[in-house]
Amino acid sequence: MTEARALASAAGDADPRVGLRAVVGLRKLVDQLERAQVRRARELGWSWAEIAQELSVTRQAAYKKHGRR
Amino acid sequence: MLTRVTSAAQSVMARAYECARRDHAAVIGEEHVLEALLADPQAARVLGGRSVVENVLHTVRDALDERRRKGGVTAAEEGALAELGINLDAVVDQIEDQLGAGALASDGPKRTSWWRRPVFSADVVRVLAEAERHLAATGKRSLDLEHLVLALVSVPSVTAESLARQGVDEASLRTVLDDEGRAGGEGR
Repeated sequence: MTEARALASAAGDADPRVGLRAVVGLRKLVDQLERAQVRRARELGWSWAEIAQELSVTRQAAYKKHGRR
Repeated sequence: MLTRVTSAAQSVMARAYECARRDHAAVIGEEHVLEALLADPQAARVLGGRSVVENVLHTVRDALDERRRKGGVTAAEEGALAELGINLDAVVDQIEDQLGAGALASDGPKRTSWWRRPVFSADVVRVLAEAERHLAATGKRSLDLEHLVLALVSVPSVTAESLARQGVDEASLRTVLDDEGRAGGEGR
């Protein structure tokens, strides 16, 4: 039990709250970066199909998320 | 149950709404509430005077602009990212080098069409909920400016932080409010 706890604390002794906050921060960063990069690709004349392929999503998904703007 | 709100507190919230509309903001943020309080002589006095509030307003606007520039990532989240070895400043600088200044700016909630009514930001909603709690604690019947300003300093936010740096916190506000209450009775 104590060994398990020691292992757990070695793996990440940080407060889970801090870790979760980092997740939220990263998510916001990813969302904004994706928006900015997609906009740039569109300005450079990329098709939705090309953008979708690079993002590993379907063309429909890419358009639904970023299209019409 | 609907909370009763005094006319002073009502007009502050109405003014905050007008400030948000003027900025074409999608949300009524802390900066708008603060600006509205600044225009109310009594509230400005309680918060330490016009110059203090103007100072704080500048700080809050700058801080909020900085947050928007960083994609809406909060100061706490930025600290958590630093624990992972991610320097958000460096990341944002790098991205802006590639994609232009303001590339990550969360412009979604910032600007909106003239016909869309601004709604309270999540932070302001928290402030209003806290104000109701302060009202319940005082046993008064209507939500007044004092509950609003108390809530403003007791909910963790950019505003509360910069007010605290000017020496305005819950304890100091309570002292001022007690003095005012004893000296002037209702006041309005």
